[in-house]
Amino acid sequence: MTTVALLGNPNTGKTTLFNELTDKYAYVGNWEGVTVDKKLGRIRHSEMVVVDLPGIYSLTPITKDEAVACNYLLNDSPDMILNVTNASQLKRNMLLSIELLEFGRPVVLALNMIDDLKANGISYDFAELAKRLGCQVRATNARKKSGLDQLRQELLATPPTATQPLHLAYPAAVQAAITQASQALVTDYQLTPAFANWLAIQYLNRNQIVRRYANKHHLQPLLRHQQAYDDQNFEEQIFQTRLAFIDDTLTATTKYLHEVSNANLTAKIDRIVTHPVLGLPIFVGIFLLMFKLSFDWIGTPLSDGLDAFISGPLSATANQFLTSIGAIPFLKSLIVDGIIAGVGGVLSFIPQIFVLFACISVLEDSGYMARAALVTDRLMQLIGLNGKAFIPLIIGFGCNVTGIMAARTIEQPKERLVTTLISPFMSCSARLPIYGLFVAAFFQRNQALIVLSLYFLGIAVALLMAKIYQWVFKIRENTVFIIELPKYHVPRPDIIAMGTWEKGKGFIRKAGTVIFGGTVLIWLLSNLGPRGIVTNIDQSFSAAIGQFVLPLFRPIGITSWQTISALMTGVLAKEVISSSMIVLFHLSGQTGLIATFSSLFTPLSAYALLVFILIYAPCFATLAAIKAETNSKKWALYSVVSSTVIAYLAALLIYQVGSLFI
Amino acid sequence: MQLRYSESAYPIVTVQQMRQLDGQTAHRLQNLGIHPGSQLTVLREYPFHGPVIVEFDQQKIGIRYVVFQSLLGGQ
Repeated sequence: MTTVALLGNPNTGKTTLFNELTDKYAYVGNWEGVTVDKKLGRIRHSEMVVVDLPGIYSLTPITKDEAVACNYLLNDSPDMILNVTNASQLKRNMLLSIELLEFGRPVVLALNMIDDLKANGISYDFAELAKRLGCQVRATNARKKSGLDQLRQELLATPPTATQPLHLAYPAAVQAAITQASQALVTDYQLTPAFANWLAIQYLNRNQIVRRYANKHHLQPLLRHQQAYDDQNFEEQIFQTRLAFIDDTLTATTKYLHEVSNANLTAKIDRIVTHPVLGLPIFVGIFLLMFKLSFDWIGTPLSDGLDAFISGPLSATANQFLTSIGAIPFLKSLIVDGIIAGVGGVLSFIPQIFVLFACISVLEDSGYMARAALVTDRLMQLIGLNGKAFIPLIIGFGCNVTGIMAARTIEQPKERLVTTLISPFMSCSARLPIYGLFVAAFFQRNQALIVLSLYFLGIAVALLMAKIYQWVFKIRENTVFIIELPKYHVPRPDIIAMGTWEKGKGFIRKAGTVIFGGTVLIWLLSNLGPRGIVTNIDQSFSAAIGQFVLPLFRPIGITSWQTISALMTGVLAKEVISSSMIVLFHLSGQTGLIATFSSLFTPLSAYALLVFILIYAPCFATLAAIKAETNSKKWALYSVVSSTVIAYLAALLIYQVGSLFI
Repeated sequence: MQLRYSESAYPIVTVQQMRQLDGQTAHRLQNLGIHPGSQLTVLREYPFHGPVIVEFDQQKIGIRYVVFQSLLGGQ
């Protein structure tokens, strides 16, 4: 089995290429840092495995996701490297290419987005480029699926044997140090000459990961001279040599075409969306549009239809069927009132959630996300974060877990920690069903507006907490913020569809697992009591638990124990809150759920409850992600406690202050 | 490389030095291909010392005002 490592600068289309070459689908977006961990896929009809790695500018990592790529080269030693480059930015892409060519494995250089290069009136002499670099060169356009068959053939045909690594003419002192160290590594440590050579160059170049590797393996020939290397500023000399090599190579291989297309769509769009004054209003407008689509125009009508089907024909048919086969009432009630009502109630929100995901996918695929990060940077700076933290937060609207993962692209550890901690305040899609239930009952007219207000409240709480953390953690005002603004893409329908499905399938899977389990659990707790099966729900276990803590929640306007029991199940997964509520209220009152709500809540207490649900303890999956990313249980525990306290205070404030006016 | 594809109305500045930058910022800018002597086209400067969008080697990036100023020599 041959493994091919997919390496290249961020946002050069590695993941799109990966998806086109292999059978497995991975997540694509038009900003840097989409891939934060490695993904494996097999090239169709072959034994060749492709490893998709996070985008890197060089092998010397700054962020956590970049370290993944360097560690992979050190420890897994791929048979081949597919270096994906952005053809129109070859100059800087080649800084990485050189490091990969020096690694001594066969390299196939893919000049991706080749159409953009042509539009700029430039072409390269591929044969000459291949000769000078000592590797195969292929032009591709992964988005338009051109050049991919040839690339696939090329990969399958390339013999996975070690080739001659690229040798640059480094200054004499540097070269002497490299030769001396690598010879010692070969004789004393039995490394292959190519690997020893590469290791020495990387060590001289102050690659921290390689330096840590050398420490761990006690590579004395390198460790001994570290001071001397750094004193002579070898890093700078290496950089200058590479730059000169790139300039030479590109000058010799560039061909200027006559026609230059002037249709610079990106510049035109950017003139508007990155406008100093209009930028922020446009950002807010795009979000408003997203919510209008999901909750007013497309999502809600579809959801209502689905709900009518589940609670009407489906439920009635199941009921009839179960009666006809003579199922015992307990089982019939479990299936009809528990599972179909509860799980079905959550599933009816699929259209709204998928429309929202489709909108987020369009933003991701088009390239707008990077602009959003830019226009919000000034704002984020006020709270000690940078614009890049905005991307994980927006992804958090889909799911907090992926949002927390996306925070890996942030350079400073402290900023990353803060972003991780505030991510759960972003209103994820799992909270939508419960909002939907309540806005349908209390805020018929302003559904989108009420939901949008919750989203913005989530953002406000996140920003406020970030400000507090900035003060507590003493984060400096001026931090690294460099963001690439990629060319806009016309969103490709299949990428949007795949992206939407990729984000949404978790929701459906959860319906079959956690939500199903949670619903059955709450149904059992509500039908069983200390004295066995109960007919009156007020004597059940869930009533006992709910009643016990109810006094605590009266000040925020919650008067029914059912709500408390439902909130507790929400820690399993936020969707379970709504299925629990459906089960609990459906069992207690035979009238419709909405009618029951109006006797238990006022619009004000309903809103206070929604605010509480927005902010309180994150779900298990999110807690696990926080623990994994911070490497500590303490932060996960802290997240549970702090968010519940904040949720309580916010709901208290809204309910008590609101009561004065209403 | 002479890749300036239009005689734009945007100001063009030359990177004077990168020594005043903190290590990570300098490293990242270097990775992107910026070095003393690089020519940057300034596409947009946000008010209140907000970010600056510059273009070079066919790529656009957003950087902070302080970084931009120190690239120009820190005036």
